[in-house]
Amino acid sequence: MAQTSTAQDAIRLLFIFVRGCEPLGENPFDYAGCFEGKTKLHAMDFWVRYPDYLAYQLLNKYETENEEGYLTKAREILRSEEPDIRSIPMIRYRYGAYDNINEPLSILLSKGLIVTDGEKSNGKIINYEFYVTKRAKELVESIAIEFPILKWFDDRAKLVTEIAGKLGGQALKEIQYQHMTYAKTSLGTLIPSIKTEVTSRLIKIIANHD
Amino acid sequence: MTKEIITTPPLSWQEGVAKRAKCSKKEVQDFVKKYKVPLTPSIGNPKRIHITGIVFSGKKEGLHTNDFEFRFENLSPGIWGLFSDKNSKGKSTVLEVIKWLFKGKVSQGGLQDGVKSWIKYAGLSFKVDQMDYRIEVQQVGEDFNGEIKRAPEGQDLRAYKTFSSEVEMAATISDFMLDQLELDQFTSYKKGEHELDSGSEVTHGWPALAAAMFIGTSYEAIFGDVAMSGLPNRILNMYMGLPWIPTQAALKALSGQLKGETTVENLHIDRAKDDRRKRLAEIQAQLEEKTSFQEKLSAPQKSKLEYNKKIEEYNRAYEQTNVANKRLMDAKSEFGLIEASYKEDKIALQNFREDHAANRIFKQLNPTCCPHCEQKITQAQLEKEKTEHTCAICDRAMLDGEDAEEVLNELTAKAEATNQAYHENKQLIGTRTNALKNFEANMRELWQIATSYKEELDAEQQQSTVYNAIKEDIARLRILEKEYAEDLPEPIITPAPVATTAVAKVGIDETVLLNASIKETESRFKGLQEDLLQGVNEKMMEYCAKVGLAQYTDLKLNASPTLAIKKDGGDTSFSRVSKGEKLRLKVLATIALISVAEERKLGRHPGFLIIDSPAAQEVNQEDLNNLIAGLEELRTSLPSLQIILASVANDTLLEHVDEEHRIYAKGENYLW
Repeated sequence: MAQTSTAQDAIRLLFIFVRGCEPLGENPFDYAGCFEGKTKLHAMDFWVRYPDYLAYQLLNKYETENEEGYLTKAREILRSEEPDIRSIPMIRYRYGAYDNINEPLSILLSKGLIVTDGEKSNGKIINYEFYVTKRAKELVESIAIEFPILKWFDDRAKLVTEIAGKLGGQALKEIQYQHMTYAKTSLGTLIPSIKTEVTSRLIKIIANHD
Repeated sequence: MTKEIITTPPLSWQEGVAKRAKCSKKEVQDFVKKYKVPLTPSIGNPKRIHITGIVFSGKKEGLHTNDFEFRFENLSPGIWGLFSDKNSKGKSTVLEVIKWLFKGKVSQGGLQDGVKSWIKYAGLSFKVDQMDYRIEVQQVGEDFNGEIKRAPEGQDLRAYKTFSSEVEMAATISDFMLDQLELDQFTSYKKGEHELDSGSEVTHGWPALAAAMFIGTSYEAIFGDVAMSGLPNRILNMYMGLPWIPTQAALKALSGQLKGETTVENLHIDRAKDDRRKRLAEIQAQLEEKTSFQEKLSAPQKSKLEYNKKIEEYNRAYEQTNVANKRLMDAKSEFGLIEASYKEDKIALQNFREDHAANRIFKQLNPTCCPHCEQKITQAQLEKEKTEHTCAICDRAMLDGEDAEEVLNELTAKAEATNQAYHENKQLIGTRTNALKNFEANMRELWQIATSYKEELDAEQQQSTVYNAIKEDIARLRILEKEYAEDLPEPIITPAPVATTAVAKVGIDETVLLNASIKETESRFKGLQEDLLQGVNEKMMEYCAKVGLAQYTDLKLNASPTLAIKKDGGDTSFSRVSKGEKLRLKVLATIALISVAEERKLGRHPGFLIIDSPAAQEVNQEDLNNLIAGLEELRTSLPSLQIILASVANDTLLEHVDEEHRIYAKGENYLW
């Protein structure tokens, strides 16, 4: 599994925030959108960082909705060896997959790309709301053209947003907990890959499909 | 004029034989050594034995279950009697126990197994000249042991020889007696049981010789129990104390055996030749029949050899498949390492490029606020950052990676290299996988071919069982035909003893040597033998009148030994007279032998006789009485003679055998 830099993490989160936020109408701060909650952020980040779990969920979606695109996407993820090349490990913490995002988030905050707010208690935010600035939205649009190496994050953030749909952070966690390997991972340890399992499942599905 | 007397030393036996056979002394010595012929020139010196006591005890089983003990002791030379008023009162058993201990083994048809098992202890005391001896046995269940004790007259007996089984007992007593009486074991030739049995050489030991001391109820031979194979003749000669008797016995036995073997061999050859001719005709007829039958059958097309070739081909393919599989495994194993490097390098390059891009993006953006306190960054702070290259937020120096390009190139080259290796190895795996598949397919095909062939072969073999059986029969018959077509050697015309290589080389005719040996041996005792026999005949005639055979006018015992008799004006012989006469003649012949030997101071008979009287209906009681009366009279001239007689009691017997010399079971009583 890969070990990424703070800048990489910041870029990845930026794409998740921008593609996963709810657009806002006119507002005094001229924010482009709002991304609600750290739980949702970690859940969506988990699918970006673990392509094998994402492929597994795509196959779930394919089997429930019979949408060919999900099967194709799952097949591409596995064929392009993403579980080996793109996986970035996370540990299982009390509320599921977790990583400390303070450093990449501080970059986004200092550069005026994200603004944090939310319900506060004793001067501290307890339910986060991440506001995506227009600067951030414009930057994301330009990155895809100027830095094609980072386009993968844009595409993946869009796909994860599609898979997550309108579900909140808690609902997404519950979906991810349905996988036994994820659920059985001991607290504080790295969540293991399910590449072999999902590959076998894909092969069976394809065999039945053809 | 005095005539010079030239004396020549007597020839030795070997020299005598060599002269007769016209050969060298060395050749005679080789012959003697080859056939182990004993050379026994010594004359027998008489040794007298008499029984001094018989004791046995134990417990009866069956109808009577009482303990018993029989004692008949303090015997000396003279006539002794075991009498009962009725038959089956144990007389014969006492005699059989004496025979058992004296001979060392139970006589055939003698002591019954059941009765023998009742006896826990038995002891036979006897005197040999001035020495006392006792043979003792103890038997408890399976345990059997015994000993021979001895001591000079009047002293306590001490163990001399021991034995712990009946086989050992027989050997121990035989050796002891043969040694005491200076008797040698001797051989005789026993004819075969049918015409194709060449017979065999029989070695007679102590039990055969001891038979001359026991006169039972069988009168087949004048000396001993059995009139077989020259045995009575040898017993007579041995007890007369003639020299060279074991030598003569061995040579006669050898002659009989060689003749028997030659005759049988000729018979075998004649019959075999005849049988072979018949068999050859049969074989040829069968061959013709089977060959014509085989021609009508079709030969099998499939062969085991061909099947084996197919299996060998399959085995080669199997080996090739194994090698291909191993090559694939090796490639896959290597691929694992290459793949890991390939992915590692790909990730490293990807991370570097992403990180580089992300940094460039973020550096293009001026900070707007402090992420911690969220205070806005001023224009002055931004200017300072541009001019002094210090961070507008933390005020630390900002460094650009100057070697980024170089690192990128390095990572790219490395990733490309491992990428190439990865794909090449992947291709190699593909190639080897295909090769393995081909080998597997070939192997499966060859297996299919071999198994199909085997099925066809099996099916054909089942169908062609008859063909193969005929084929095997023909092959077998051809071998037999070849064998039977060879002729056997012609029958041997004259007896030709088997010659060893050494003797054969110088062309010595062993038959001539053998005949010369017999003649030379017999020449060395014939004169003495004839002289002694004359003496025995005279003694017998002298005794005849004393035992109620006054009607006998002449008796002639020859060396065979046969006994020619003249009585009542006619000629008869031992085998043709009544049992009562036979009994008396047997006793007289033995006593005459002992008497002559006593007078001449030679001979080997121990000088005692044990007589078991026959049932009353077979021998006239009067004959027995006459015998006893006569013996009583004879005893005075033969003071060392001892006779023990078992009989149903009558007045004559009781008169001649007084109370001190007898045990008498009156009425219904038993002797033990």
